[in-house]
Amino acid sequence: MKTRDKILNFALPLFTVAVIIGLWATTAKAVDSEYILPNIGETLSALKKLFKSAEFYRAFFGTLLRSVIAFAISYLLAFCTALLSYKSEKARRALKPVIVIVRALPTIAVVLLLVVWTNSRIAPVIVTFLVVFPTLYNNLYAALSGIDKKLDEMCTVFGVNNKKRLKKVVFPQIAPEFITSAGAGLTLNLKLMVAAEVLSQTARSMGYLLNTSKVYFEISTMLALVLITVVAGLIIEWAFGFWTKRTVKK
Amino acid sequence: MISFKNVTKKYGDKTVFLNFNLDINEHEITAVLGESGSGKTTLLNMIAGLTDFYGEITGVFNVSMVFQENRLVPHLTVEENILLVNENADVNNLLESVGLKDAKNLYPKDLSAGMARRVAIVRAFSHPAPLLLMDEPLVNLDLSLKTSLFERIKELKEKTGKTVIIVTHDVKEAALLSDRAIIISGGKAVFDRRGVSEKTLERKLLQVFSDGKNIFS
Repeated sequence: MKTRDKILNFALPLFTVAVIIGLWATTAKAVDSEYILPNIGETLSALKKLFKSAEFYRAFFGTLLRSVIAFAISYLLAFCTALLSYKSEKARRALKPVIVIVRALPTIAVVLLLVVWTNSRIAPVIVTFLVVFPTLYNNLYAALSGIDKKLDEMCTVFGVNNKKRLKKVVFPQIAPEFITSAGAGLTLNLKLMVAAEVLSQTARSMGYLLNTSKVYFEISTMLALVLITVVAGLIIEWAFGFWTKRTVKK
Repeated sequence: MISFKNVTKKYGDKTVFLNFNLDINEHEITAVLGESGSGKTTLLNMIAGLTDFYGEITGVFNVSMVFQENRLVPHLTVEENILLVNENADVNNLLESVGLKDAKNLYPKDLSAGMARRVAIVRAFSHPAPLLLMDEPLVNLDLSLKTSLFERIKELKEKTGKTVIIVTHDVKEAALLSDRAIIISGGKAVFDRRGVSEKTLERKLLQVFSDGKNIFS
């Protein structure tokens, strides 16, 4: 049963990917125009071309760096506010409208406003922060709320010191959710960053490359850039998933 | 001596203890009985510092406790659970004394209810505190295990001079194990005697249950 499950876990996603690729190949053949839907071969050669250009690496790592910065700010602030809400009901109630408002902000309108107010490099960072922060806050608050208070009482009664309590009792309870949230947050961050860069016309960015490709009608390059973003997101999710598995012993 | 001095404890509008006074001698096993909701667990929680109250409890410094639920840390093994409360605990010896020699590396989810209970008990035994609080410690255990744990608790008191307070519903357990039995009802100690027999305790408990109109309110 276990072996069968393992095979299915591996085979089913592979089958889905094969279906998507098959659909792409069939549709591209039917459309028969590289300006509407390039085929797999054309996309792969665009990908090869990208990998050979220094401009691509500057753009990719520029986007990645901005994503990591925006994510770090979001995560740190989400952690601090979630901890504050967990410790104080008054703080939680005070923060609630802020979270609701931030979550309701129309992303695209905000990007355009931020480009006017700041500049094209800072605007995407702020926008991704505004989108990712409320989700991270909710996830981290839920993780903190899930800490077993009875185990905490047990530690108090037996006089377990704070360092040991955090390391052996509290951290293992919250770690899986904290790491999973980080992985999902960083992936979302990367996708949003690219979108915000497109709107902000950020120099040396994946968004800028996408825009340029659109202007020159290089659809295969656009598809290649999308493919790279998807793969980067998948790698991040996989890495964080692996980390979560390693952290959760039982 | 552990002394409750004018202790008042309320949960919302419900008063559990009102100006409650009680002295518990050191180096003795004291059994606390009473119907559900009479405040037995609250009494232990007040001693352990887990709940607020008005008044004063003196003579309590360090405590170890067997909680009503086992409160084992799910991601730690049996051995790690014991070492969490006492790094110097002789885990092998402790586990052998309750027939769990081979359970050292198991996680709480792999234990039966009775096994988990025994781990919770030996964890409390391993702690060096002079006061041991036990809340319904022997539920889910079969008779032979109960008997062996009776001996272990008595031995622990004899060897280490620990003060033990046991909250229980089991009259036999209270009579066999304790030096002194106290019945709590309506926020008062309505019965307090040493060396009481099982029959006397049972009769008294039934009397308290049927007499106290406020008991089931």
